[in-house]
Parts: sequence; C-alpha cells; structure tokens
Amino acid sequence: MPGIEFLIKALTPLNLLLAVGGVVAGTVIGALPGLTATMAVAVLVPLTFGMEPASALIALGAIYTGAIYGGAYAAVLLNTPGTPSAIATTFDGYPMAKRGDGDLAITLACIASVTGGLVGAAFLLLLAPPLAKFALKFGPVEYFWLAVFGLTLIAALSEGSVLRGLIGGCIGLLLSAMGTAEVGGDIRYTGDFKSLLGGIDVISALIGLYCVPVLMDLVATPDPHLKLTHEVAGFRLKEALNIAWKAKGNLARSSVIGTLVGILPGAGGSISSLVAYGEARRVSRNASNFGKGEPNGILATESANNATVGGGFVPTLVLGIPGTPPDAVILGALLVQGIRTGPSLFSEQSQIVYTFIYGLFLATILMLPVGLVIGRYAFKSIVSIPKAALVPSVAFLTIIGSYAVHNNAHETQQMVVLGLMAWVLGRFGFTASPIVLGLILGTIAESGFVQGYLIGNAKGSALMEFLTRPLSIAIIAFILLTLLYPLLKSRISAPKPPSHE
Amino acid sequence: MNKSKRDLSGIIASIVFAVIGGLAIYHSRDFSPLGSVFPRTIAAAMIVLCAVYVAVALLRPIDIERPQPGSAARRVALAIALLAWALLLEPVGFLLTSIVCFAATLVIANYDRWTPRLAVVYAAVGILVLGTLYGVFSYVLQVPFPKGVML
Repeated sequence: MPGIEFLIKALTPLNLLLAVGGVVAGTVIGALPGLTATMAVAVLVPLTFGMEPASALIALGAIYTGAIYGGAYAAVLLNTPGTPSAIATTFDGYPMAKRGDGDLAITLACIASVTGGLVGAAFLLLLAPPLAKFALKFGPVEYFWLAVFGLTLIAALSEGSVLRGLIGGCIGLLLSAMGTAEVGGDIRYTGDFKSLLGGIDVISALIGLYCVPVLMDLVATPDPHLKLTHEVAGFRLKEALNIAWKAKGNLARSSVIGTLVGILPGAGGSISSLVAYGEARRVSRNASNFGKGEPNGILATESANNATVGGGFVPTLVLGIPGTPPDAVILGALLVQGIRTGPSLFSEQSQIVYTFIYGLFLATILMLPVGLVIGRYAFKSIVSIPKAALVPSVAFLTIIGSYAVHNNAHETQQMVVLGLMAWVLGRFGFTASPIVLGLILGTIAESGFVQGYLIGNAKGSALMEFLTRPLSIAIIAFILLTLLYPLLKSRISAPKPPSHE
Repeated sequence: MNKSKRDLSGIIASIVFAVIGGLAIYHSRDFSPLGSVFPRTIAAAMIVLCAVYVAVALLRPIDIERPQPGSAARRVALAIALLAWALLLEPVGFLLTSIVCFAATLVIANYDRWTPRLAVVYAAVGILVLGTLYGVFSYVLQVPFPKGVML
C-alpha cells in the first residue's frame, strides 16, 4: 500500500471536518434538481483557495462525492435525477418509493455509493498510471461509438420499446445540434430566436424533461405522492445490508465499470451508471423485475456513478485531462494551488496526492452515516409534505435552478417548454431518459463523429475509419449485443416450456 | 390497465418525428459541410427508425399502457402557470412573479377544502420556501435575479 504515512496526515481534525462538511454540502446541493456536482464544486471552490493543497483537495473530493450521492434523493423520491449521473436511478428508485420502500431505496443508494466510491478510490490509489494510458487509446471515433453505446443502452433499458428509445435518443441528439455548432461554427436550427444561439442548456433541459411531467401528473389527481406502508422508525439498514451482501457481485462489477468508464475523459457518471445497470439486468435471474423497483438496479447505478469519482481523478491527476466536468473545476483549483498535474505528479508531489486519495477514502466512508441521516430526513420530509405544498415548492426549485445555471431567463423558458413537450411525448409512449441522454452526449458524439469523418476522409474512407479500429469494433460489438441480446434470449428460450420464474 | 391493440399514438408520433427529421435535413442545406454532416446523419437515422417503427406497429398489435388519468383542467392550468412564471420573471421581477405563481400552483394542486387555518399554514410554507431558497441563491450563491418592476 503506497504511503501509509499519508493516511495519518489525512486524519487531522481539520481534514476530518472538511470531509464531513464537504459531504454534507455536496449531498444537499446534489439533491436539489438543477444543482449538479459540477455546480457544487464550482460554487464552493473559492473557499479552498486559502487552504493547504491536500486539505483543499479533500474538501473538493468530499463535495464531489457527496453531490453524486445526493442526486439519488430526487431520483428516488421525485422521479427527477438530482444530477445527470442519477438518471438510471429513477428506473427502480421511484417505483420502490411509489410502493412504499423509498426509505429502503435511499439506504441502498447510500451503501452502493459508499462501496462504489471506495472501489474508485482504490483504483486511483493503486492503478492510476496504467489506467490513464488505457484512456489515451480512445480517439474521436471511439468517443462517438461510446456515445452511441450510451444511447443504445438507455433505449434498451428505459421503459417502452427499444425503437421508441432510439427515436428519443435521435431527438435528443438533434436538440443538442441547435445553436452554434462547435465544429464549423454554423448557426443551426435557431429560427429567429436569438436566445437559442447558445443551444439548449443540458441542465435546464434535464430539469424540465424530468420535473415538469411529474408536476403535471401530481396535480391531476388527489392521490398522495408516495405511499407510506410502515412507520419510518429507522434507516432499514439491516435489510439494506442483507440485500447489498447478496448482491456483492453486482456491486463489485458495477463499481469496476464505473471506475473504468470514469477514466475516459468526458464520459462520466451518466454513461457508467447505464452500462452498470444494463449489465446488472443482463446477468440477473430477475431481469423482468428491473424497471419495476428492483433493488439491484439502484445498487448498480449508484455504485457505478460514485466509482466514477475515483475513476475521473485518474486522467485528471496523471494526464492533466479532466475525466468528468467537476474534475475540470478541481483541475483549475489545483493550478491555483500551484500543483502541476502530469505523469510525474505521483512521484514529485506524492505527499499531496496520497494525502488527497486517503482523504477521498475518508470522505466516502463518512458518507455512510452522513448520507443515512440526511436521506432519512429527506424521505420523511417528502412523504409528509402535502401535495399542495410539494408541487409549488418543486416548481419553484425548477424555476430557480434553471435560472441559476447561467443567470438566464431564456433557459428557464426552455426548461418549461421542453418539460411540456416531454409530458406530451410521454402520452405518446416516449420517455424522457433517451432524449436527455441524447442531449448530454450530443456534443461528445458530434465532435467524435466530425473528427472521425475528417480523419477518415483524409485517409481515403470515412466508413473504414469508423468500422475498423480495434476499440471501435469492441464497442460496436457491445452495441449490437445490447440491441440483439433480448431478441436472442427470447429466441433461445422460446422452445422451452414456461419456466418456474 | 394494458390493452393489446395497434399503437396508433406511436404511429402518429413517428410520422411527426420523420417529418421533423426531413425538415432538419432540408434546413441543413445552408450549413457548411462540417456543420451539416452530423445533424443530417442523425435526422436520416431518425427517419429510418420511424419508418421501421410504423411498419412494426402496423404489422403487430402491442400492449399499450394507458396514460395516467386525471384532471385535464388542472394540468392545463399548471402549464399556463409555469409558462407565465418563466416568461414574466424578467419583465415583472423574479421575486414578485415567484410569489404570484407559487400561490397559483399551490391553489391548482390543492384538493382539500380551503379553511382560514389551511390558508395561513400554506402562506407560511410559501414564505418559508420562497424566502429560504431565494435567500440562499441571492445572498449566498450571489445569483443576480431580475428585479423587473421592483427596480
């Protein structure tokens, strides 16, 4: 174990306080729809400028990891992902909450987040340099296919047919093309609206596409928002630990997936949680329960997205390339502190790096008690608030959250219009998740596609560039497997008599 | 309750999306080659997917999940309130618009009989929620909200 002496340095009272404070602040900010992990880190980063570099990093790592976990609250209790990483958590979290197991879902999310966070931090501690070299093998074409893989996964996994999901993904990608093109600088699909020149903001769209349809259905009936089938007396920790122990394989696999996807710059928690969810469902004996409140779904997504935190720090620290958007903010903070990231960081400034990594372990472990306590009160509050107070409160959060992203009223208008559009599309059987992911991945997909197209044309064939690179072939194989697996599975199992399941 | 029949709503939506895809390709004629290659490819893929969807939906009936029932009037009222909230916050002012629209959405969402006690409780909830969040965003996070007519 490298530098155990740094563990002792990380355990100072100040660092412990910063870790607890960071986790609390991050969890609360991440829980509010519209306030992402990136915003949480960006807003609080100036507070760290006067600190020792290692302490500053511990505080920022704690805020980041807390915010990713906090995103699960709104996903479970309001069917609205607090952060894009929690999109897949809505699939089973909200059905669990609706049937009266919201408290169990929150506790499972906490356990999974801690497990994933620890695995990600362990990879960062032990395998950072070789993993960073792997990330460099991904070129523009691979990033394009990775985005397509993410969209294929969400189409296959979200409610409704795969075709509808793929069409939804295309809608999201077309929406992401609105505004000024990143490659070429064209003004596209803006009509006469100057407010669309900057394109559609992903966070405002995320808030609208998820929150507004929920509000529209909440006001339509007098039924209570969530069922409460039992007295909320504890955390249901023992029950959750039993479920998590039985699903240890799922937790380990999802955490490793989260870490590996996290080291790919730009991919982030939204893809890792989907990949982990898809794998969990594929290997599960209860695959048909996924999407209906299956605890393994929450364990997969929450462990994966928190493992992305450690994974994302690998290219950030070793290569100076931010793995995820919050890493970009943290990279900026590192430069302010006078730390130069790069391959030599682990040898030349080992004290700072290892103290930070142990601090990340510390913050992740502290997330268990902190997260359980905050989660319990979040659950109790949401179930006990009458609908007449909940609806305007959530509506105000959507308005203030979408405005605060860039202090722009146009983005609030976009949020409402997209939300109303999502509600109408929902009536036609098209869910929000593929559209949101299309919007999120649109930039990665387009820049990868256009760069690959240019490189391919320069070499003589764009098609060959997209189809013949070894890593591309591997990702394409996964895409085909995702699309065809349900079909193959049903064909293989068709001649057999109905199983006992 | 699910009912097995032809997915008419899905067919209509797919035709609409195919038309949108066609319009996206048509409007991309003025873009540079680099700016048009991605949206054209995606629009073409969407048209193909929509065509496949329509063909599949016509060939075999599927289980259609009925949309959640409920009051259309309240939904329309909420949609109007949210649109007004978003459109008026700049000219009228963030705080004033939020107070009015918060109250409107509260009235739309309430199914209980109004009593003086209920009105006082909900007014207190409104002041607490609006005051806390506005205070945090305005003074802690330094978000410059539009003042509008309150200037």
